[in-house]
Amino acid sequence: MTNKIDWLFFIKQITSISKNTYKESIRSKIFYILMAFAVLILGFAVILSFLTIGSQKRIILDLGLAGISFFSVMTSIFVGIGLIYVEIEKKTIYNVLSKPMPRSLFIIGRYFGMMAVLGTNLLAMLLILTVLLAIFKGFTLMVFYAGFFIYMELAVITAIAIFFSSVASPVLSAICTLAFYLIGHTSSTFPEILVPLLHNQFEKKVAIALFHLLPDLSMLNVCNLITYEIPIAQGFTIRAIIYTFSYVLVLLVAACLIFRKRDLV
Amino acid sequence: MRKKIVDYIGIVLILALLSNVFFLHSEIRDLTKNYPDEYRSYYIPSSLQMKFFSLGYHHAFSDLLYLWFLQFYDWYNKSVRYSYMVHTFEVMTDLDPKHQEAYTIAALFAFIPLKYDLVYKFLDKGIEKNPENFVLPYDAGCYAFFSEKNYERAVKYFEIAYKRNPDKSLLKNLYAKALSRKGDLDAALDYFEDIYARYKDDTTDEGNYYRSAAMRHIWVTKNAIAERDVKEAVSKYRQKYGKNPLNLRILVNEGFLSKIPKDPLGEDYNYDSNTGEIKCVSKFDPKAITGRW
Repeated sequence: MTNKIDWLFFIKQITSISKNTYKESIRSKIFYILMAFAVLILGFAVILSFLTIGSQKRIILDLGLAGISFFSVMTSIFVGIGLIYVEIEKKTIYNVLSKPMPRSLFIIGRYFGMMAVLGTNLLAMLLILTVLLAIFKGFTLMVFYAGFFIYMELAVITAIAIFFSSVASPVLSAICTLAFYLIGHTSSTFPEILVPLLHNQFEKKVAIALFHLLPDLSMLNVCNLITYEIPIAQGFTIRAIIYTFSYVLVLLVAACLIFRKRDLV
Repeated sequence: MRKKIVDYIGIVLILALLSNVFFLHSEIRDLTKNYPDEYRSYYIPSSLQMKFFSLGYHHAFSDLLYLWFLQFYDWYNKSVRYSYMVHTFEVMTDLDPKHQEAYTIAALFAFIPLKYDLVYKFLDKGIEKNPENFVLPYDAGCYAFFSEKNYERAVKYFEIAYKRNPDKSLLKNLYAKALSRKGDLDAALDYFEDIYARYKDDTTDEGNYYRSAAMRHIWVTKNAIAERDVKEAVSKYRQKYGKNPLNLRILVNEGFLSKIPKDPLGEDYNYDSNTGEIKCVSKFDPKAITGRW
């Protein structure tokens, strides 16, 4: 019985922190600047599509999805890195933490709030892309499937940003999160590029281990398959979701553990 | 007073630097204006590097490269533009091996100066990377058949296209035509007869088109086969007896022909013993054929 009441209390706390984070982030200038860039990219994709021969729809689709994905990730990084650190810096975190609640809830609430912001942002951009594709008679429902996996990628990136934001300054967090983003999108090339360069068997094994261990964000990128309506492998969706949640959990648990013991004075 | 002097010096310095930049820029532009366009600063990394740096957005990068490719190679007057074309094409299609337009447009740009080796190189890669695609071998076959008149090559490509999409009569028709031009008349006749059988009772526009085309092709091919057979038989007879036979019956009796050939309407050919050649006397008449085939 006691447990039930505790859970309800936790959920309420997380919800109220999330709501605050949502309101706070949605007013952020960076959010609007990046969203404006993304919309510009979508418009740019349409202009570029007039320069092509025969690939108009695919250019709007490819550049549109790439633009949405890239600017959503940038939003996630540049809004996400300040989520914890700025609160500590401005000392506004004391108002929240003075309440009888575990510190971890603050991290989790912040995370869910940020994900809600990114979800709104992503949905708005996908709707714009949908309208553009509909105008050029290239609409496919698979756009939303690609959008779902962009959201999965954002879930991982935001967790990384939150993790670094809880332990480092915004600049350092931005650098580290960007580094993880780059690693996430290039780790899939390890076996093709890195491993052949290594001569030592041990080094090769380490490289392969890193290949499997580091977040493989390129795996969550299904945009390239959507263009040709290539069927998604059976069982991919569920495994990719579990993979994403596992990574998010690892990062959030690590962030909570560090934040619990962090001296905020 | 001192502050004002510093301000003035600062403003003068800025203006001097700006004028310097202006003149330097003009001079550098003059110095480099005679460079060939191909040597202007552009660099496209290798496919592997591009895959790495495109951060998973391979198709978007391939699209951008394709757009650049269209703008750059659409400019025909460049002297050595083809030296870099292959690399650009390779990167573009390595990033997105299914980018059909990239193959067809690259082949088209290579075709304009009739660089057939490049045309087939570009399309061969597309054919290999897209085992289901019939447009690319069809495209290659058309270059070989209609422009290069390399019928052996045309047969190779049309055969691939036809096997990838056997229901498309256009491909079957072109394959048969290429076989015919190559000299493989018997195989060509089989395919033309298939097309005719398929559209025999089809009164749609497509049916009428393919039926009448097949009729003419069958007519021409049957005559060509008969002419070829007779020519071969006469040649053998001449080798043996030193003269042409007086009629076709002699060739049959001597075993050089299995039977006396008949024209597509079942009539006898007109044999000329002086030249040793036959001539079809019947006129091509689709209405007359319709009842007989």
